Amino acid sequence: MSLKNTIDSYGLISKSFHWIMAFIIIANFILGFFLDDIPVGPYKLLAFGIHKSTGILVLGAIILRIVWKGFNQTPMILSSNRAFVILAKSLHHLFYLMFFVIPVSGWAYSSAAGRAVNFYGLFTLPDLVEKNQEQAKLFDNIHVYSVYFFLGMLVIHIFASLYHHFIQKDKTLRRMWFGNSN
Amino acid sequence: MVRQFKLIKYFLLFFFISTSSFALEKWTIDPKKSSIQFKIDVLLNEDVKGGFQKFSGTVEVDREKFIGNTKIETDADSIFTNYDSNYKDLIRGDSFFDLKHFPKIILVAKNFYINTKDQNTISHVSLTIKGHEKEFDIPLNYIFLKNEHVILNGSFIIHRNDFEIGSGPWSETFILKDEIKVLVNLELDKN
Repeated sequence: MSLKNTIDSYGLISKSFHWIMAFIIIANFILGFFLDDIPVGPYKLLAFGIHKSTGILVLGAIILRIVWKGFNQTPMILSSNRAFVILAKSLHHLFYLMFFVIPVSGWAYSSAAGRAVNFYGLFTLPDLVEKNQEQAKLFDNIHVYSVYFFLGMLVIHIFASLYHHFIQKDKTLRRMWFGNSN
Repeated sequence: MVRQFKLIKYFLLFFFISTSSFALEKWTIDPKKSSIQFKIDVLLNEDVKGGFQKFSGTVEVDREKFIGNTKIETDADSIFTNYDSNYKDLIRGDSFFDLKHFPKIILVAKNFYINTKDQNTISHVSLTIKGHEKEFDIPLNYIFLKNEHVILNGSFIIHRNDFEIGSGPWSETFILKDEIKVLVNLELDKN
């Protein structure tokens, strides 16, 4: 398996980025949804710390992924329907946008609430905005609603890949997995 | 002969007491220029950082004998932390500082020794928080600015469980650590 993409298939590094980020993002979403349900106590502090750090990890990973994408060609979309191709490309671009919007809004929310973001206890990130409770509410709303929007996109993405696999019977899903796509 | 010795003893004792009281200088903390801050490590999260805005105190020092004493009272209600947006009530409540029953934090140093060579002092202090009193030594550096103004600064470690700062689930120290690093920077004016 090639490290780099070809016109026909994804390389090992692109596949690794896709699946490792998918796992981390979904795990962080689940943690984020249950944060408010954790009783006030030290474990809530820990959960918030992990959630925020993991958001920053995703932000760093997406920057690396975009750099890697810049050195690679993107395999062509396997559809003859022009509308589907435009939809698929738009969705992919929206994913990249949301990979920025969600962690950055969370980071800004934390800064506006007066708590700096610390990366897994290793170092503290600079505040994005000054402390301001109104701005904190605004960034919190952006963070939460962009997550809901992202989840809608994720459902479309999963159904589209299953549509390719089971209805179109092409190798869109297989070429993103690690085995032989043929 | 015995009576003469007694007289000499009383004279020396009187001389000692009178010279001691003459040499004792009183210094008052200027709260506007001073700060008392603290930091507690949190596992995988931002450390708790904060301080106290209201405190007062005096230092009595005998510069000839290199000894002194001090008492500093801190209004526990003036506490501020970087976690106030979510945990302000909790920090002020009975789990942590219980301000309703313990409004003051008191630090008393009955004696401290001045080391003129290294410009530092070792103070044996007793600290009272939430009714719990602990004694320990703290090192402080000093800088005399002119003859009327002095800066005392230094840091020391206390353990929050010694003072019941964090009861119930908060008493475990795996996530919110037990050690509190206290940083003091006191500017004092001579009375």
